[in-house]
Amino acid sequence: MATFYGEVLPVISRAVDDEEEDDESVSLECDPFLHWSGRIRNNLLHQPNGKLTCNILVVAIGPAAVGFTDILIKHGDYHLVGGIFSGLRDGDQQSLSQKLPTDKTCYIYRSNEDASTFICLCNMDVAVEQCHAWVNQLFSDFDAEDAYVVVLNTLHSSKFTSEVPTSDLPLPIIRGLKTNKFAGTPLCPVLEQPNLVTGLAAQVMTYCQANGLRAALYQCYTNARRLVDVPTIKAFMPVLESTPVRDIIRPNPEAEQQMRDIVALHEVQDTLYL
Amino acid sequence: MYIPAAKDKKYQWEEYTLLVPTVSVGNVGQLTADLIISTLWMDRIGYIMHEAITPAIGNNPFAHADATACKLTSCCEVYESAATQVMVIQQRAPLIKGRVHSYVKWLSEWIREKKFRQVVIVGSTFSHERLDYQMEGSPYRIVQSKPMKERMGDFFSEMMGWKDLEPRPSLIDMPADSGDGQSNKGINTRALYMPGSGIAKPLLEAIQDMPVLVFLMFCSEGDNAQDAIGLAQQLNGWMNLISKKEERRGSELSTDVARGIVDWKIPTSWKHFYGTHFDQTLFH
Repeated sequence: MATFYGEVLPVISRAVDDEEEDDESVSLECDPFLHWSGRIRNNLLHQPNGKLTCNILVVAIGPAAVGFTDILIKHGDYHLVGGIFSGLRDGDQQSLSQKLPTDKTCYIYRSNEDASTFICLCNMDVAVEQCHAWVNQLFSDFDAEDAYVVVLNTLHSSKFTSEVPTSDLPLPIIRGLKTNKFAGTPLCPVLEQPNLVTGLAAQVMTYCQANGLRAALYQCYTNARRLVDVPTIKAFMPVLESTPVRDIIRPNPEAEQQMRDIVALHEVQDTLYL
Repeated sequence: MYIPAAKDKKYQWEEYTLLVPTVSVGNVGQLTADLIISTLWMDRIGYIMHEAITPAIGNNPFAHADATACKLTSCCEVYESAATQVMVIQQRAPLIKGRVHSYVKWLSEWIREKKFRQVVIVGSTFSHERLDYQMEGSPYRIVQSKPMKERMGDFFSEMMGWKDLEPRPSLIDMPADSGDGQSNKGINTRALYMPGSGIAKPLLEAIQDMPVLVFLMFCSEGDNAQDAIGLAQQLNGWMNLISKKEERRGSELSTDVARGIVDWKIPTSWKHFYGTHFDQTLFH
């Protein structure tokens, strides 16, 4: 077709957008990668099946869930063993040395008391294109056949559909879902139809359901700005009495103050209303 | 990959008809699949996990309205009805851009491996793209693969009254009798214009050596529940999935039922389809 000198047109017509032809060339190589510490890599080499035994895995997604898990579950004896990195955005961290609770990191910790207990704190947005690979990476080095998996996630209350108007809901609220293999029931109301959970939490639960693992999701709906404030963090409290978390926690007398500190750190980073 | 729900259960896949709804205009194909799964009380027999599928989970969309138990449902699952020998792939979220072709490739290989008796691809296409002569009469159109045409002959046009999708040759198409042997290889998919039908056309192209029927409806985005009921009625007219006189499990408990030629059981997941009532505090 008519075009100026030197222009190369990859399409048959400017007027018609044939989506099917665009499709093939769009995909990026953007799979996340899991980096273990040297000690774990060594461990993996010496395991009979090349995998780490995992009996308890807690996956916390989002700042409120990460804050809750950090303060009330992980505050015991845990050490950093690895991280999952995506490298999609310029600001994405690629090292294991970020220490602040507001850093956009995804780190994995292992308990010093029980080597089969792991916690994954995911404080970054994992793109939907990466969820599948992210979950496969996480479970690829775990022998999780007998594991209990707990997933904590936060969403804005506008995503919650019910007959009750949002202004009448006692926010933040928590809802649960579980896989068939999980024998108990979540210690909160089950997520009602027609609500759906998407993203990383959904991919973890789908993996667990399809592979016959015991998993429970605790989904918090909140109207807090940046989805983190003290009531939202506290909304996850029922998790402390659930299987398997109740077997691995120790009381933290400074929990209240640490929650306020984390929320304050997030507020400082929020430049929306300077 | 396909992961069976029960590892030890075997199926005679060759005896089943596979229904594949595509993510298309108004989600009509998926809504139709919902109605069929719900009314037939189909069992979930497996999960499809693929990097192209957007993750989504929820509670059981086919449970009774007052049920409180939790049965996790994921984005892409396979359902089976032994009584009617039908399997349905239900997909609840769109495919990720850039990975559609890899999904179509995997799906067509899986369908071929299972050797289904026939495949019915159910979807919709934009009604605003119709030509003048397509605007009158039935909004349903079909495309048959060669083996399906050989098996069914004129059944669909004579007995069901379904029209073949009118070909829409583009200017760059070669003439039909160019002698390149294309008419021997299969149907001329280049002339098929199905905008908004999702993966219907690429999937048909990939498995056109099997008996495949693509069933489309012209529609627009909106309240497509009635479109889905209409489409389900049409399919039922051919496949005889549900009859009025048949005793159906749970029929006494069913509350949401669309009256018509067949009593379709509306799933609970169709609640608040277009959002809930507005929040009164907006106007204080």
